[in-house]
Amino acid sequence: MRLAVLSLVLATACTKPPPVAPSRAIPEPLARSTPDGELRKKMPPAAPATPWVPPEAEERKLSNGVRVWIYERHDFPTAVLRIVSDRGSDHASFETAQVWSRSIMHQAPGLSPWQVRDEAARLGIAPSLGADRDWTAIDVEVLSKLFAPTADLLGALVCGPLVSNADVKAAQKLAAATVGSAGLLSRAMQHAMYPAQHPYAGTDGVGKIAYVSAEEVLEYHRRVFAPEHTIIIVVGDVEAAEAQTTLERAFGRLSGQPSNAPKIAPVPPPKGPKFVVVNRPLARQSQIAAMWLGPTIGSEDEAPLAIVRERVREELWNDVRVGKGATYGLRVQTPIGRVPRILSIEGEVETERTVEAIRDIIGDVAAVANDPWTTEMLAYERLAAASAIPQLFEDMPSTAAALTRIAARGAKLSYYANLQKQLAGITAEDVMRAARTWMPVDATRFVIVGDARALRKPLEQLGLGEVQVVEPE
Amino acid sequence: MLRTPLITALFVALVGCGKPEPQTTRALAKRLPLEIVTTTLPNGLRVIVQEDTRQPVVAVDVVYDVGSRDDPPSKRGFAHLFEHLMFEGTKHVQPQEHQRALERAGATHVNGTTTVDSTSYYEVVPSEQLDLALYLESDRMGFLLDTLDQKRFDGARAVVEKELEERQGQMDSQALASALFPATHPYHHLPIGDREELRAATLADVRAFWMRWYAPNNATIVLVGDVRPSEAFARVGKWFGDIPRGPAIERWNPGDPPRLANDAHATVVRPGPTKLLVGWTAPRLGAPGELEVMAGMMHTLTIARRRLVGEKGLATAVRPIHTPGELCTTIGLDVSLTGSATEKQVMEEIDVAVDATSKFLIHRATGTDMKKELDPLYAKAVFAADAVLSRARMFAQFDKTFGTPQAFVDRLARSETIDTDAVEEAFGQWIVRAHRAVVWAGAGS
Repeated sequence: MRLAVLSLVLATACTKPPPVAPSRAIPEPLARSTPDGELRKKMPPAAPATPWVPPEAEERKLSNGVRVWIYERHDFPTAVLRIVSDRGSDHASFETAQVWSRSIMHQAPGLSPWQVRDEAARLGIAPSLGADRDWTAIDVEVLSKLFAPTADLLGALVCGPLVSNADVKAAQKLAAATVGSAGLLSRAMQHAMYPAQHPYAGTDGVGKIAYVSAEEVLEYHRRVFAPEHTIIIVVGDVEAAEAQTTLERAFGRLSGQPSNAPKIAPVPPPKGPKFVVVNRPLARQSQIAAMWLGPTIGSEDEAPLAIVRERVREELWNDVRVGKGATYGLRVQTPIGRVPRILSIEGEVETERTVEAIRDIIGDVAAVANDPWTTEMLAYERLAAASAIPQLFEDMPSTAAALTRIAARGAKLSYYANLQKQLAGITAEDVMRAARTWMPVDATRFVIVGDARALRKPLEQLGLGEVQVVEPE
Repeated sequence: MLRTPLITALFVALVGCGKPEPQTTRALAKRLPLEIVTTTLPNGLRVIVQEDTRQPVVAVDVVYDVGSRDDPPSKRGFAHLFEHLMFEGTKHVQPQEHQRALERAGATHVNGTTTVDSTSYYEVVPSEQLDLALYLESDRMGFLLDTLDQKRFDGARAVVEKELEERQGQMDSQALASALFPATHPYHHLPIGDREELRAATLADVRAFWMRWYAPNNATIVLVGDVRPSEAFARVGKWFGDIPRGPAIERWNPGDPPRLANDAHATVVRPGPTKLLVGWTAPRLGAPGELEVMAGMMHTLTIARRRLVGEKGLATAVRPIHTPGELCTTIGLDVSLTGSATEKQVMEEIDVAVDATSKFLIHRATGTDMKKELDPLYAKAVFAADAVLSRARMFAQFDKTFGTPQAFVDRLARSETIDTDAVEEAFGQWIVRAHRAVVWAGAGS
C-alpha cells in the first residue's frame, strides 16, 4: 500500500543558525587498484575443523519432582533461567495460550503489579513468555550476581499465579491486535493443514480471544506447569549446588494438576483446495507458503530432512531471488516436534512473479527428491547442517534455547551430539527417501496472501488444483 | 609462492618491528573476561581481535566509516544502496556467491547494516572457515568495481526500493529526525533514503563513492572468537595487506547537537497501529551529559509507562528512544496508543512525567541513587556482549568513537557511578519542552 506523509508541520527555528555544510558532492574517481594474484584465483579451503564438544548439562531434581538442567559457564557474568513445560496450547486452546502469555506473571500474593514491574526493573530483567502447540516457556536473562533474587521473583509469580480480570482484558486487546495484524499467513497455514477444532489448528477467529476467562488462564498455567511437565533450565555463571538451593527455595512449592491431554493427537491428511489465496487487494508482493505435514520426534528422517532443507534452500536461492521475484530468497523450515508440525517454504515475491515462484518451488523440491546427488553436493549440505549445531551454543540465551527445544520434545541431553553423528552418516538415498516421504510434490498445499484479482487466473491456469479465495477477518 | 614472504613481511611489520605495535587492553579483563588486542596495518586498516574459545566460531565485522550522514547531495539513501551493492559480486566472486559460499561453509548472521554514521558487513563462521570470510570481505574491499555494471547496480537498487516499500515503521523515525534536525544537518535523513533520488543515481556516482569511502584507511575489521590474535593479524595481513590506501577522509562535523527553539510537530499518515513519538536531541555518544540525560529519561519512562499504560489506559506500551550517534544522540519515548487516546491526553501525561523527573531530581532525598535508572541498560549491554557478533559490533562502534574498544567497558563502569547532581543539570539542560519534537503516526490525524 502506498504510504503518504500528509503533513510535516514544523514550527521550528534553531537556537542559532546552523553551520553551513561543506560540499559533499562526489569528487572525480581517483585511480586506485588492488594488485591481483594467484592467492585470489579460488576460494580458500577450510582449515582442519576444531573438534566440537557438546555441552554437558547436569541433571538434578527438586523435592517436588521438577527436573533441573544446569549448564555452568563461568566465562561471562550472566545467566539464563528458563521454566519450560512440555505441554502447550494443545492442552487447552490457542486463544487461552495467547492470553496466558500476556496476562500471567503480573502479580502474586503480596506483590502488586507495580511492585512486580519495579522489582523486575531493579533486577534489569524482562521476562518473556511463549507458548506453542507442544511447549510453554518463561525465559529471563540476568546478571549472575542477581540470579537468586530473580529466581525468587519468578518463583513467586510461577508458583502463586494471580490473574485479574483487568489483566485478562488488557491481554485480550494485545493478543487480538497481534494475532490480527501479524499472523495472516500463519493462521491461513494452520487452517489449511489441520482440521477445524483440532488442537494444533491455531485460532479460527480472533474474536474467540475475547471469550477467554481469568479462570481458564489460571487453569492452563496450573496444568502446564505441573511438576511432572516442568523442566527448569539454567545456563551461565552459577554454581550448580548453589543454584539448586536457590531453585528449591523458589520453585520447590510448585504444584499443579498434570495435563490429561493426549500426548499426540492424530492429524489426518489435509483436505481442501490446493491453493488458498487470502485476498489483499492491490498488494505488490505475495506472501507464499508451500506446505507439508512433518514427522514427529524420534523419526529416522529427522537428520536427512535437515539435509533436504539445506539443499532446497540452495536450489531456491538460485531460482527465486533478486531479479527473479523475491527480495531475500525463500525460507525453508523443517521443524520437528512432539506433534506433527508444518514443513514449509515461505517468502515474499512480486505479485506478477508469484506463479513463476510456485513453479520453481515445485521443480526444486522434485529435483531434490529425484535427481541424483553428487558426492560433492552431499558433502556440502552435510557440512552446512552440521556446522550450524555448535553455533546453537554460542552464547547463554542460544544455549538455553537449544536445551529448551530438546526438553520440550522430551528428548535426552545427548540429542545434539547424536544428531551430529547421524548427519555424518547420511547417504544420498536417505535424503531422497526423506524428501519423497515428507515433501511429496503431489501433496503440496499452498497458501498465498496477495492480490486475488491478479493471482486467481494464473493459478488456475497452472492446472494443479482448486483455487479458493478467502477474505481476511 | 607468494604467500609465505608476504605473511612473514606483514607479521614482522605488525608485531616484530614495533611500528604499529599491538596494544593489549588488559584492564578490560578486570571487569569482564575480555582481552582485546588492536593494531593498524600499513595501509591504514584498523584491526581489533578478541580471542574467545568457548565455541569453534569467529565473528567477522568489517566497518566502513561512511553512513547516511555522508550521502551525496540529492542522493539520500546512497550509503545504504551501497551496502546492497557489496553483495552483488566482485572480480573473483559471482553475484550472490558471497552469501551462498558462506552459508555452505556453515556461516550464520551473514548481513550488512547501514546507520547514520557507518556501514558494517558481518558474519559468524566456523573457525576453520575464517580464511573464507576474510577472502570474501577483502575481495569486495579491493575488487568491487572490476565487474560492477549497470545490471548489478539495477539489481541492488531494486532490492532497496522493495525495502523502502516494506519498512513502513521507518516513516515514524524519519519524521522525528526531520523534525529534530535542520535540513543541513547530517542526521536530518535516515539511511533508508528516498526512492526518486536513488533512481537518479548513476553508475559513475557509485564508482566515485566507492573510491572515496571504501578503502582500508577508512575501515576497521573486528574478529571475535576462536582465533589467536597473532594468527588473526597474520591472516588479516594476508588478505587485506595489499589493498592500497584511499584518499584521506574528512567528514563534516557540524559541532554541538542542534536544539529546537520552539517545539515541532509532524504527522505521518500510514496504515497500522497508532503511535506517538516524542524526542529531543542530546549529547553525542560518550560526551559529557549523555549518560546523565539517559538516566533522567529512564526515570521519565518509568513514570510515563505507569501513567499511560497502568493508570489511564491510553497506551499499550511505552518504549525508550535512544539512538546514540557520533554527532548527537536522539532520545525520547515511543508510545503505542490505544484506540481512544488523543494526542493532547498523551502529551499531558508525558509532560507530567518529565516534570516529575525534574522535581524528583531537584528535591531528591539525600542518597538518591540515580544509578538504578541505568541498571536495565547496563544489564542489556552486558547481555549483548555475550554473543561474539554483537560484541564485535560494539567494539567497532566504541573504537570508532573513542579510539579504543576498551571504551565499551569504561562506559559500563561509568554507568555504575553516575552522579545525581550531574543528572539534574543535564536533564534540565536538554529535556526542555521547547526543544522537543512530536510525531503522531497512524491511519488518521
